[in-house]
Amino acid sequence: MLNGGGGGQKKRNTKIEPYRHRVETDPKFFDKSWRKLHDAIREIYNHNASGLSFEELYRTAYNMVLNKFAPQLYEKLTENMKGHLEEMRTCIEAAQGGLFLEELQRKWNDHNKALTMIRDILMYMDRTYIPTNKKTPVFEHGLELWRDTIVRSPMIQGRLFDTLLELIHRERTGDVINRGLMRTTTKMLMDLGLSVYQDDFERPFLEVSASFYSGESQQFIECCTCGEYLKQAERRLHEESERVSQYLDAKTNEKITAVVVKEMLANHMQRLILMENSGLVNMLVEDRYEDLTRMYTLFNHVPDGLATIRSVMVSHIKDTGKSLVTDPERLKDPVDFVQRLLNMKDKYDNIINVSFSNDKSFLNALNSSFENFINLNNRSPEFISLFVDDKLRKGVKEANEEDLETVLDKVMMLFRYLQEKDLFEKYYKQHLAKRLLSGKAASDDSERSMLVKLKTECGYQFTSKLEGMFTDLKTSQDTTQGFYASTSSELPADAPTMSVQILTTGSWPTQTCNTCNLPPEIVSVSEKFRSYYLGTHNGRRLTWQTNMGTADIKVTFGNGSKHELNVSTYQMCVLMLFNSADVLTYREIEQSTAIPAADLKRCLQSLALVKGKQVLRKEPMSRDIADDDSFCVNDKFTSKLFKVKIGTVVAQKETDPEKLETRQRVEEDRKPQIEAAIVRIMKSRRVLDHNSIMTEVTKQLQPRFMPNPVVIKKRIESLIERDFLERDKTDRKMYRYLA
Amino acid sequence: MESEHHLFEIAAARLERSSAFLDEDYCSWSPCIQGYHWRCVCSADPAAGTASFTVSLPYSSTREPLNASFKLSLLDRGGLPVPSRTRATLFQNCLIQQMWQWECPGFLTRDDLERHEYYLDSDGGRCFRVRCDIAIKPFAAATAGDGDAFVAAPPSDDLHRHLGDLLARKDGADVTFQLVDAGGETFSAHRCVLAARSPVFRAQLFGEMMESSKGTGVVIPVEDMEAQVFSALLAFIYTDSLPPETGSGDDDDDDDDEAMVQYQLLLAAADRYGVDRMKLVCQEKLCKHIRADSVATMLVLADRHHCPALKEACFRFLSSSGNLGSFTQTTDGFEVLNASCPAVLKELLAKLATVLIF
Repeated sequence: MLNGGGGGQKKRNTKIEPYRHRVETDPKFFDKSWRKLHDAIREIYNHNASGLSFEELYRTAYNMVLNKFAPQLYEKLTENMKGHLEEMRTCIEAAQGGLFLEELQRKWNDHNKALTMIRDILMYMDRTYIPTNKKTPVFEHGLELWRDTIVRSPMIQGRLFDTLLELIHRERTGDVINRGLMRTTTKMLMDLGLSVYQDDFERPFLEVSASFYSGESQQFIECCTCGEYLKQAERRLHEESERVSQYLDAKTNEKITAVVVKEMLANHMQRLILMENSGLVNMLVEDRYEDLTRMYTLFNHVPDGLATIRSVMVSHIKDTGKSLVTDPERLKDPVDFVQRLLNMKDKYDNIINVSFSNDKSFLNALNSSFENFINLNNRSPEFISLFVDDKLRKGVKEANEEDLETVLDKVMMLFRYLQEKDLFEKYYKQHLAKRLLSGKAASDDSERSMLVKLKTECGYQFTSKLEGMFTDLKTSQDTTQGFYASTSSELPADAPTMSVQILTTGSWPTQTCNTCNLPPEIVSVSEKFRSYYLGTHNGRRLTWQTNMGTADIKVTFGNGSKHELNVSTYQMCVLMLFNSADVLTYREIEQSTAIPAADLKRCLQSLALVKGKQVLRKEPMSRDIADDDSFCVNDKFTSKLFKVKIGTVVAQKETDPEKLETRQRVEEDRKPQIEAAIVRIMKSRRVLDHNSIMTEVTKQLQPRFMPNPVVIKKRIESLIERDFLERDKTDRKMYRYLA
Repeated sequence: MESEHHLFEIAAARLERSSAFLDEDYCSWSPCIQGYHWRCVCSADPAAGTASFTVSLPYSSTREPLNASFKLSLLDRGGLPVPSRTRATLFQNCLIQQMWQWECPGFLTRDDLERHEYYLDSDGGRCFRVRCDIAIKPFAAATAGDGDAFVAAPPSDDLHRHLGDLLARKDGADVTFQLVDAGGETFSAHRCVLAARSPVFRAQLFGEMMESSKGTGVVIPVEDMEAQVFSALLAFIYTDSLPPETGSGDDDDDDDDEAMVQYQLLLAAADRYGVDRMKLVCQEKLCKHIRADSVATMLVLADRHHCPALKEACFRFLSSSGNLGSFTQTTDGFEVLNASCPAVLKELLAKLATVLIF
């Protein structure tokens, strides 16, 4: 066996060729390649792309870029596309009339499709050469060429935008236009760049719109009422918003709205709001909620729009309110006076709620308006109290408890507007006293409910005395029961029944102390009560207020008719005299009863001169009462009712002298309050200048009344005289508190 | 999921009637798992001849809702659980508002004394073994399957292989490429996959030119492409990876050169079809094999196909005076650069001048 040598190395049969950097040396390489692409682009623009080979075209462009011909390729591409676009421009310019936009749209679609394909076959250049050299990508470049060659060409630009604006104008004037075509055209402008849409189209659109609406507003404002005009403006705003949503850019909405608002509303704001016979005032007067709502909504867009509406409304409310509170005719009926105020408040609350979106600025304006005019009449506090008196007397007889509560709540709104709440308190106290003492308060719950409202509004101090009045009545009831329980055995069987109301001095309105001569039957019982009361309450003093009581008297007339008369205490004293006399002169009655002349005259008038209530006869039959007039029982008196009510004591509007007296009393009551405020302030500050005291005192007392600066000054002087304060030695306008 | 287990050993004597242990006796296990304090008690009652288990979880209002499973298994002589003697309970999303307790009375009885396969003889006498398992899963995850384990799907790692198989089997293939330079060799593929992975293929196959027609018989001729390169390109598109390098042979240098040539061709193909990640992978490979006799070719490639990282790597290689010496003395690199891309040569000279100055 032959030994062989070492095994030979076995080579592989195949081997990959080395990577070759193929460099084109053909001087016509670029021209041949570009020719291929050029022809392909022409086929693309001629809608013959389906016969082209993407692989071949892409590879051709790829090789051109690899061989450093990208700059030339980019330049050739630009020229080529521009050439195609110029051909398109010629076709577009040749389009007749209404076909212009359609032709433009068709060519735009063609260009976009071509551009997509061109971009695809030149993708390698887009990825490599263009970013490196900061060129515009192929697709964007094609859009720019379209913009510059077609949209902004002299022959097309003006025509394009004129056509768009003309179509919009026709739509505004009622024509139906091709909205789809409009949409695609404006979308083209946006695709070319937002600045193209905004600069080339939107700006002239807004200018033309301003002109259009300026003209239309002039035309409408001459022939329309305010309500009609605003309805038209609203319609235009809706139309413009719809147009934007249909075929404009969304951002245009804000701008076109501003144009319509300016031209149709802002520029005519004063004229519209103040328009005679149909403006804001007329809308308010006639409760035209729909028109008011529209006005509020539309002028919300206008600078100072709502402020102007509010201002005019305030003026109107003040004027209306002022004429209401200063009308002499209205002053005759306080209840009607206040009811009209409440109705007016309801009216404007309703308008603000329904039409002005419960706008707080309008509510505040309404409140300040009412506060302004309601205090123009210094009798408002009295009238409001009389209104409450009327409601609380009628109570649930006229309305159910809930309705009464609602009315009282509304009255409290008016009360809040009063600047002289202490004057209201004074009157309310008087009226409450009369209701309570005459038994005319319809509902104890309602009375206390009103008291709670006043306390909530003004604090405990304001109502403490009023509450004392209720306490007194309760205590009186208990005391009377105690009296009869302990003394019933001592009284004669036919003694009249007496009910006593014990009134704490200071809680009740100040009354002059008038004591008349009571009938003997009454005197005996009242003296027993006095003994009982003073026996159980040491240190008390009891004074009879005979001018405030009532009495029930059973009467048998000469003709045999029997009645029960409800009369005042004074009237009772007079009538009882006729049990022992047939005829009495005025002078005799006055001497026997000791009733003050003014009261006695009124009393006798009620008994002798009121038709249907003439239980006495007077000689002579005159309206006035003279000292020599004589009176006798009317034996012919008849009435359908067994119980006859004569001369009920009711709250009356004050006469001027009474009004003056009440106001003087209120002014007197303010002095100690001002002094107390001054002392409180100085006690905490120790040293303070004159103006600061004035400011602080006014601020403290403002919830109750507006202090008079002159009065404040006088109170300061008085306090200095009484050594509560002293002037500073060096500065006479500076005061010091003396402990 | 977290779990623990315990092995109870119960003396068989405690189940005998005649047992001297008259008192009830118990043993317990108190594990703390994820902050939950468990207690498992086993008590044997000789009088009754039974052994019972109780597992409880005390009140804890601060805890989140709990998922847990509890299992008791009697072990046979060989230490394996007896299926028929296994008791388990499972509770999900329990709010620990009050003490939770589960009882398993009579787990073992006197009858078990006759079953020799259940107990083990030890020095202390016969005893039973009971295994107790507690497994806990926090509230967030839902419990699935049996109480022993919570099933979790493993992360996906098969997608590439599946797609690679699809390419190989040509199921549903709807486009064919024919390589003109490779004797007409054809490759079938799926339009959607190619379009998803390459913008060039998307434009070609879904555009409006010839290749986008819907017929399944479409054959697209491809020029300037080698079969091996195109095959690797398609494989990368489907699997996101390149084929393994050619096997090592006797001549390492020759094999290395062949691999590098292949990567250069692959890089060019990736650049042509816009498969960016493949291009980066090739650059990474080439950067590791820059030598004096190949750096010029690398630079030309980097310049033509826009590979700044590869170019930078070549420049860094030539910054070394040793490498530069070899480059200039033993190769015709300068001539190659000057002829193919003079701009790169100028850039290189500028960098070298800077290096020499420093």
